[in-house]
Amino acid sequence: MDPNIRDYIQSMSGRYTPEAIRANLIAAGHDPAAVDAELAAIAAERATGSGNKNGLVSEAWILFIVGGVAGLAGVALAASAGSSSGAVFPIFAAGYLGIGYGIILLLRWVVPRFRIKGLGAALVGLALIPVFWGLMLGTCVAAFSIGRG
Amino acid sequence: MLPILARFGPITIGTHDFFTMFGLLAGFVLYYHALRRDGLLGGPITLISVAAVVGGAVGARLITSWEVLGDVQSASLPLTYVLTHGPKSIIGGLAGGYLAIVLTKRALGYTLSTGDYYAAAIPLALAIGRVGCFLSELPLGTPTSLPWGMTVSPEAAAAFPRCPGCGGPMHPSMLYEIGFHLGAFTLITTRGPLLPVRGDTLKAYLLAYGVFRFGIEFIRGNEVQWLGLTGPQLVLIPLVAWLVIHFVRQLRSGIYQMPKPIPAIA
Repeated sequence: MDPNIRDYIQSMSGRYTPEAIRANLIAAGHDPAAVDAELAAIAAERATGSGNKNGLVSEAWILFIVGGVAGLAGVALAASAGSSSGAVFPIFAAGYLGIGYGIILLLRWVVPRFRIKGLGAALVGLALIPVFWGLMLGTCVAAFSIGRG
Repeated sequence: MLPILARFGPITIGTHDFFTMFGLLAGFVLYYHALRRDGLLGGPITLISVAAVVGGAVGARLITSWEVLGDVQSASLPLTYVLTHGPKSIIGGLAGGYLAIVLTKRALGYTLSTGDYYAAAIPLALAIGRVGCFLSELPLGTPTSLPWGMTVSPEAAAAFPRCPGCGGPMHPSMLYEIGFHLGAFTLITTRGPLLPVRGDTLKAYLLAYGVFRFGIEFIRGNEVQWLGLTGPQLVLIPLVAWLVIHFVRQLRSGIYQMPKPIPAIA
C-alpha cells in the first residue's frame, strides 16, 4: 500500500467527498483499485469511531424523542378537549426541549469525565427512564398550570 | 381530483397521506442503501433518522402556523390546534428535519457529514409526495391561458373553502415542482456529489429548491400574507439567505480548490 494515498485520504476525508478525493488521487496517477481499497478501509474506521461509545447518550436521546412525541400528543389531546389556553403548547415545547436537551449535553460531558461504566452505567441508564418521563409529565403539568393562570 | 385513493371496509386511504408515506419510504430506502454501500449504517444513523422524521413532522406544521394564528385565537382555539389541523409546509418539514439532524448529531457526538446521502433521497421523496398534492389539493395554481392549464370540476372545487381560479384553467404548479425534483434527482444520481465539499451538494439542492419554490409561489395560488408575498415566500427569505451566505463564505475561503495529492511514483 502506498502511504501517500492513506495520508491524503485521511487529511481530506473530514472535509471532502470520497468521490472528489478518489478523482484527485487517480488524476495524480495512483492505482484506482488501491485508492478504492484505502477509501473503504478509512470509511469503516471513521464510521466505527464516530458517535458516543457508552450508549447512555443514545438511550437518553431515544427517551427524549419518545417523551417529546408522547408529551406533544398529550398536550394536543388535552387542548382538543378544551382544557387549556393557547400558552400551553409553547410552554411545554420550550420547557421540555430546553431541559431535555440540556440533560443530554450534560450526560455527554459527565459520562466520559467520571468514567461511568459497568454497574454505574446500568444504574444511570435505569434512572434515565423516570427522569425523562418525569420531565415530560412535569413540563406538561407546569404548562397547563401556567397556561391556565 | 382524487382525495381518497382506496377504501378497504372501514379503512380509508387518503391520496395525500399515501403519497407522503410512499415518498418518505422511497427516500429512506435510497438513503439507507447509500449509507450501507459506504459502510456507515449503524445505531446513531437510525437515531438521527428518527429525529429527522419527528423534527420534519413538527416543522412542517409549525413554520407557516403564524398564517392561521389570528383565526385560531379569534375562534378561542388552543395553539396546539395548528399542530393537529394547521397548514402543512414542505419547507417547514425540510427545515425541521435539518435542525433535528444537527441537534441529534451534536447530542450524540456524531461528527461524520451525512448530508450528501440525503441529496438524492429528498428530491425523490418530494417528487412522489407532490403527486399526492397534485391529486388531492386545490388550487392547482393561479389562472393561466397557457395551453397546459388545467381545469377541475365545480364539484371538486366546492370541496375546498378557498379556490380562486378554480373557474378556469390553472397552472399545474405541483407538476412544475415534480419536474424540478425529478431533474435534481436525475442529476445527483447520475453525476454523484455535485460539489467536492461534504454536505454541500445537499445545501446546493436546497438553495436551488428555495429559489425555484420562491418563484413558483407567484403562480401557486397561495394566499398573499405581506408585501405581496405568500407565507412560504416569507419563510424562504431567511432560509435562502442563510444558504447564500454559506456558499459565499465557502467560495471566499477557497475550499473548492482542493489540495492536490503527491503524484504516484512511476
